[in-house]
Amino acid sequence: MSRIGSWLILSFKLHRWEVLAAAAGVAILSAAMLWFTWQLRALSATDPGCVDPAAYAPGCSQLGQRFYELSSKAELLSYLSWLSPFVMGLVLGVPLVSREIEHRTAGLAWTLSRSRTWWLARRAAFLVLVLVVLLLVVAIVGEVLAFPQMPAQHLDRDFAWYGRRGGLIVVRGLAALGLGILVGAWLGRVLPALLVAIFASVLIFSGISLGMDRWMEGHAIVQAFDADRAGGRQLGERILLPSGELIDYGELQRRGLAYEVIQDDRLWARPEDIGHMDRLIGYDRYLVVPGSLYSQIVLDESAVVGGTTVLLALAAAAFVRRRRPG
Amino acid sequence: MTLRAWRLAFKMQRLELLLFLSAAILLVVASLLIAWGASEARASFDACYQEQGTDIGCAASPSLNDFSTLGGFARLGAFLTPFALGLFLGVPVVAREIEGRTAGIAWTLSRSRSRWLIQRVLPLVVVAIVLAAAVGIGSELVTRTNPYADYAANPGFADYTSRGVLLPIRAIVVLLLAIAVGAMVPRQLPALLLAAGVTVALFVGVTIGMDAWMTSEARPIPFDESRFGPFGDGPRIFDVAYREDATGKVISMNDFYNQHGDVALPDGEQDPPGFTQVAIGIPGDQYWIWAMRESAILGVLAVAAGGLAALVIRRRRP
Repeated sequence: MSRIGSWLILSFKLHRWEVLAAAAGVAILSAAMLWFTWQLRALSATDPGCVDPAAYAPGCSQLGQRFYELSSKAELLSYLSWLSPFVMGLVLGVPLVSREIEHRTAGLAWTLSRSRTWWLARRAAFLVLVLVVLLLVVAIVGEVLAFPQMPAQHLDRDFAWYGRRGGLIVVRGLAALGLGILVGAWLGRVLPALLVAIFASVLIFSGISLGMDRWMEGHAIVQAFDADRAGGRQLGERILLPSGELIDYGELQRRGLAYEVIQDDRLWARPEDIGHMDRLIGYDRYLVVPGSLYSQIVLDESAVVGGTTVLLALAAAAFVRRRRPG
Repeated sequence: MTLRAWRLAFKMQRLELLLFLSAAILLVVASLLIAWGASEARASFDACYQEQGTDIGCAASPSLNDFSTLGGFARLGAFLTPFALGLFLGVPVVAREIEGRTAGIAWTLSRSRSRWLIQRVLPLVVVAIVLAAAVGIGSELVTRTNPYADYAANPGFADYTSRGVLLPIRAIVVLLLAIAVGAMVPRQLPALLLAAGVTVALFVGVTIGMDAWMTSEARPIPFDESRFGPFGDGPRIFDVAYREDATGKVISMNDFYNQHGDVALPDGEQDPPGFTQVAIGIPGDQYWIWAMRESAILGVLAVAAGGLAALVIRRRRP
């Protein structure tokens, strides 16, 4: 048997339960998503004019209702796509080192290998391979489902289902894998490491998400309340003060600028102030990242998450090199 | 149970216990701070509002909105607590012994496997009850001081699944179920995944069943337009319908529109002439009855899960 074959078989044997569980999860999720794709496409084919949620078409109520119900359920599945990289990354990554330490086989495994780094690289490479293949399936099926679920939208320039379709799923999974390996190597016990890794991943990915939102504000445009925001990523409502300053509602409240009336898109403290421009509090606005920037933002976030993955992998390697095997 | 058995049980899972103890302390302290801050901010807002007759210039810092958001995070933590406690403490009790090949010696040294199981499980049950109850109390305070509701005296069904008495009983069910799954699938991580799946299925089933039971006993509740919306005392609402004023007969919205078509509402009126809109649900003052009913069902499930775990361990090869 070739060296690659024996490496694959040994690696699979060591992680067969996690790999099988992840593969089963992806198979079930993908099958469900493809079923919804088929159903939604069939409905669209029946009467394409009835599945545009933005347009009211007479005689469409039953078909429209059926499309809405299916599309809502498909949307729920898309949240599982969003969750899958974190769950799979941690479930595959955490036991890689921690189980060897917990079972007291790490010393033997590390002694038999050329070096601890080489051992880690060989073991991690198999999991990376499995994770990338499985998450690619989730990412592609997510894209496949998104098209019939949102037939009127141009999804190549649309933030709809952000992180629930496409390549970002794979990159996030690799970061979760790196985090799982690192925490597992640090704690050396499977379940406590999983618990800590879950907590750490919530912190890290929330931090990245908040950071990305702040960073995206630089690319955002201010839109009027009734402007067309299709495809854009809404970063929230803002108030454009007469001075030209843009603040959020929390800041408005902190400044003691309470309003009682919004007429058109103008905020007034009292009904009797309406029309007196010198008493205007401000204009209600939306901060939106245009959909045309979707690909660029995905690439940017992938670069940030990818960089985090590299750091986590280096930290894990350093940990394994210096760690006591028991 | 001897003191030695308690110490051994704690030593076997000290890392998990330390993590949960720290997390529970953090969550309870955070909940208390949020509840205190929210009630202070609300009191100052109410005083300002009463003095001025309007909320202009009454903004508190941090705002009521901030406390509402923080309270949401605390409630989410409380909702997840029984599941995390049960799964992470329950799965390794047997699975780790078998995976580490120490089950044989542990079971041989004990008078019986059932006795071994009780000695290992009882301290964990106590820990799970204490931690879940502490988190449940913290979350109860967060709900009662919700800045956008008047729940101080009776929150009713508000935040039903993330506060109070249901948290400890949920933790016990999940713990015993996880022990049973860990005994059947003697590898920690696969057992954890399977136990999580079984737990989700079980609680989805219980929730659907309880909803069906509650729906069957739901009755019309009049809309009570209070400061914070139509339902001040936290009822559990399942539907909205019309009640005919003359006869008191309640008909669903669908039936109403099928019978009467679109009815033009008089100016300033919310209801068609001769009808009053009512909610169909369970009043908030019946919270304890339903919480006890659900606790009883979960108690039966806990006993069944514990029995299953004991049975599997008695017959299992180590």
